[in-house]
Amino acid sequence: MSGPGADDPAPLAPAPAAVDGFEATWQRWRLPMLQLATLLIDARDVAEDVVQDAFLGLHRRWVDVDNPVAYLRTAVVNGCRSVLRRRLLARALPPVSAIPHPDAASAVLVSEEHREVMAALRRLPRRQQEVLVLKYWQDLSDEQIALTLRLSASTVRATATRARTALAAILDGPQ
Amino acid sequence: MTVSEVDAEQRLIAALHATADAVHASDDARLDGTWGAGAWSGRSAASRLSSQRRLAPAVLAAAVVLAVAIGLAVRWLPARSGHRSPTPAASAAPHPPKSELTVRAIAADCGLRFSPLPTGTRPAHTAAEVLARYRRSGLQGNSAVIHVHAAMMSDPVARKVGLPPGPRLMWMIDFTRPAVGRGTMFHLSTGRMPTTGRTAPNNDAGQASSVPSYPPGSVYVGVTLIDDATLRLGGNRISSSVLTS
Repeated sequence: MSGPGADDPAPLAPAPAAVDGFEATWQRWRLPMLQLATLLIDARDVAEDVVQDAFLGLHRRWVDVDNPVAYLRTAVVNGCRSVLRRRLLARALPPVSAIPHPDAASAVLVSEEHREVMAALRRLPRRQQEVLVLKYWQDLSDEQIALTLRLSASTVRATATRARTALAAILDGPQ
Repeated sequence: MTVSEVDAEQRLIAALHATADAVHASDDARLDGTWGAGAWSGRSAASRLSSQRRLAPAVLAAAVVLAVAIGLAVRWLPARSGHRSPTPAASAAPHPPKSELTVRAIAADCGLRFSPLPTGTRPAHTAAEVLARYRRSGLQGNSAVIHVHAAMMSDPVARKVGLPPGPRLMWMIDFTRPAVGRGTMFHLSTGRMPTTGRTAPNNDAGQASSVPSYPPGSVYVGVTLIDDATLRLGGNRISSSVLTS
C-alpha cells in the first residue's frame, strides 16, 4: 500500500495567471489533503475547513509558491494543529475520540477494529500522531516529514520510534 | 522493533488506509460539484470563510474579487472553448439511464454481484420506507433517484459495514449525480464500458489535463445499498465512469 504523498510530482508548472493550473492542483490534491486532515483531527467537517483554508492560502500565494503540494501539506498540518489547540483551550468540548463522526457513510465504512486503532493513535502526543500519519499513510521519507513539520530528520526518526512503541503499548494494554 | 510493535504498525497502516478510504467514499457521496471532487469555486470559498469570520476585511475583499473573477472565468472560458459547463446538471437534465445499465456499470466498477429476488421472497420493508431511510441518511445531496428495487446482493466489501458478504436481500437505490471535471466516460449509445476503474491518488498526478472533460449533461451513476432486514446503510457506490448520451 502506498499513500498519496510518496512521490510528489515536480513542482507544477507555474502558470500564475491561469486558473487551470490551480484547478488541476485542486482536483488532484483536494481529496488526499482532506484525508490527511481527517486522519489528523478526526472531524470531517472541520477537516474540510482546514483544507479550504490551505487551498485559499495557496491561491493567494500561487505566484510565489514553488512546490504547491509541499505548501498544502504543511498548511494542512498547521491548520490541524490550530484546530487541536483551540480544542484544548475550549475545555467544554468533548475529547477528540468522543466526537461522533459526522459522516454516516464514513461511519459505516470503518470497522470497529480500525476505530480502536485510530482511537489509540489519538492518545499519542500530537507530534507523534503527525509523524505516524505522514509516515504510514502519506509514505513520506523522514526528510520529507522533517520538512513538513520543521524538524530535523533525526528528531523525526526518534519520534517515530517512540510513537510505535507507545502505540503498541496502548494496543496491547487493557482497553 | 518488537513483535507487538510490528503488529501495531500493521494495524495502524490498515486503519489509516481504511479511514482514508472511508473519507474517499463519503466524499463521493457528498459530491456536490462545488466543494466535492469537482471544480474549485473561489466564490464558495470566500463565502464559507467569511461565515467563519476569520479573515481580515481586506483579505476578504480581495478573496471576493478573486472569487468573482474565477467564477466568471470558469463560467465563460469553457463555453468559449466548447468544454464542460460548471452549471449543475439540474439545469441541463441528462437522460435518465436505464436502471439495468446503471447497475451493470456499478457492478463492474465495484465488484457487486446481484440477482433477482427468488420467487415468493418478500422484503421486510417497502420501497417508501427505504427511501425515507435514504433521505434521513443525508446522502442524497443533489442526486436524482431513478430507481429503487430489491435484489439478492453479494458485496465483497460488505464486512466493512458489518454485513455478511454472501447473498443477502438488499435494497438498491440507483441514482445519478451531475458529473464535473474530467475522467472516463461510459457511452450510453454504444454500451461500451470504460477500461479503467477508479485510479489511486498516486496514479493520476499531473494527468488531469490529458483526460477529456465531461460534456455538459454527463452524470455519475451510483447506487446506495440498504439492508432490508435492518435498514442499515450498506455502502454508497459511485461509478468512476460517467454516463453521457
